[in-house]
Amino acid sequence: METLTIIFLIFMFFAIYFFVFFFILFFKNREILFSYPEPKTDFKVSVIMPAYNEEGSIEDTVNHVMQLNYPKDKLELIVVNDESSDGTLKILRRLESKYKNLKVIDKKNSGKADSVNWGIRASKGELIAIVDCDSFPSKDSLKKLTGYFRDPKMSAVTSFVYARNKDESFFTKLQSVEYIIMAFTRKLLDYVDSVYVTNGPLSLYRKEYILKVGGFDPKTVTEDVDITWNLLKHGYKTSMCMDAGVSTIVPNDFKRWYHQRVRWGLGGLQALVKYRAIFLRKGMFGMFVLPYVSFSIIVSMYLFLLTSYLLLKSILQNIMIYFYSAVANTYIFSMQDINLYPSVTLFYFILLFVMSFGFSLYILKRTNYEERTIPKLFNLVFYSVIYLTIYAVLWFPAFYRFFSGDMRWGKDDR
Amino acid sequence: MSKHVFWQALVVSLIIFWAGIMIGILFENSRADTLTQVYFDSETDIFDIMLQQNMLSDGQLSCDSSIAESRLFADRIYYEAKELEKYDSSTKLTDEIINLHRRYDMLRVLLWKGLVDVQNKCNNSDIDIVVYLYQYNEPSIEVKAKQATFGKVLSDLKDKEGDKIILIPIAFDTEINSLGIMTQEYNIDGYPVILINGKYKIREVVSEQDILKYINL
Repeated sequence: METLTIIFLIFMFFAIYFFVFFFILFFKNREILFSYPEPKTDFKVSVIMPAYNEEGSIEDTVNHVMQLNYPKDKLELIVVNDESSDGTLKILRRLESKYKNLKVIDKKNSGKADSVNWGIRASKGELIAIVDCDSFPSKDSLKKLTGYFRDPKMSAVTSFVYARNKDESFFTKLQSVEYIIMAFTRKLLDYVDSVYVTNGPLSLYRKEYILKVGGFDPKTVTEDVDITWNLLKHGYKTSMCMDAGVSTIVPNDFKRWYHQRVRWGLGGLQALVKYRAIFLRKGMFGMFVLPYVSFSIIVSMYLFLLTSYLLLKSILQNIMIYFYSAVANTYIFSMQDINLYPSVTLFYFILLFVMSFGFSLYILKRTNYEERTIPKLFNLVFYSVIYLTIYAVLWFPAFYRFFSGDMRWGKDDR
Repeated sequence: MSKHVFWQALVVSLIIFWAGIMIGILFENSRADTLTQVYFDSETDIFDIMLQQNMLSDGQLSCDSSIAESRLFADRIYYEAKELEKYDSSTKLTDEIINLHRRYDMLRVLLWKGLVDVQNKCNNSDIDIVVYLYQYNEPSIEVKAKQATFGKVLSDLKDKEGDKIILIPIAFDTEINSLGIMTQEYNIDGYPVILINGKYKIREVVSEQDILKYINL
């Protein structure tokens, strides 16, 4: 058997394993995916919004938070202005006079994670909700998250993020598909205590545990990943509520999307290196989350490199055939040249693709509630074939930035 | 919490994977079995051809009859080999097709040797033997492209001229010792190469018309 075939079969096995794994999780929990523990609204909650040049959306987000269905005497909002150079602070000062429970902190620029830490220090709540300035929690979302904290080991609960501007362009439609699939798989991982990202748009944390693990790390570019891993490392629980929705503005142009995703990749690499000592140790985090994330990165890059290599080889060969055919004065292609005997590996690949595609389609159908709509079939095909391939490429600049020590937030990062 | 899911998924995926591999092996073996049957028929025929060549030496058979039989047989194994090659790239799990390929190559070397003998004995210029020696195992991109073009030109030529030419494609790198002796005899040291009537060697890509110049027809 050829080496390439052996490698392909090994990857196929793991792909089948993860597909079956998610499918079993789904099948066992299909009736309770959208359920959540009874809300507990006697927690005092501090909502923290780190803000940097957010004049376009901040007012809308503040209004959304203020209209949350949560007892007003138990809710405070702290917006930390990270030395915005636009009109963000001016808007915030105006809103401060409008809402009694809104506090604005204006500080020198020090990044998102540090801004959150400033907010935590100034907060009075037992629970801390982090909300991005371009995100809009639905009315009951915060309330639905509180019930999880009846469990004394619960440290963080995250929400269902979906694209607010999904109809803006084809590109935002693709991201809408991606966000739904991401949320669904994250929820399935919840059933094995492995929610490894508490997203920026809306997540609720227990303040005591955040302080115990040292707060948000200002050195990372994905503070949401880092804090979750830190909490998991210390043995705390994380969870996800599918019924707590929050919409967020997703990048509508390639450049901003590219910078955002490279930053996510870079953050993932930073976290993997930072928590490497836990690999294959210490409960679900070390035994499953870290290997799972590492494996996903390796598979993504390997498949991209392999496909590129085979494609490049085929292009080069065809160019040469074209050249030789011109010399030989013969046709370069005929219908007889098509191989009508596909290999077993190709059958495997098609089978897996069809199964994953069908499952994704079902996921999208299941999550069709409120303002979310089923994406068109074409969008899902494009997402599965083209979008995910392009996404794999982004690991390369992420690795480059990681090894060249470029850990900054760029001006296009959100 | 459903931590048993890790083991359950492992068991289910092992079953799916094992079933897939088994079906794949069965599928490949069934293709090979079909071709093996065809091969055995051809093997029987080559013995018949060899016997006829012996009869030719004894004067029991005419040159024309022997050449006609050889042409028919050569055509038959040419098309059988073409069928075999279709399965080549689709075979991933078993070695059956590779082994069969090697046996077909041996059959073709035997045919080549036999035809050369007939050509010499009959002093006949009516037979045009075109032997195409190509690389079977891991050719480079350039060699692959060259072979694809050679293959296409020769295939077109065969389609046009039919049994007027005897086309014998043989992989040179399937460890057939007798082929090594044959190629030494014709001083062949580079591949791929087209050998026409044992005299002309074509190493670079040429057109159908250029090849026809070397053929008697």
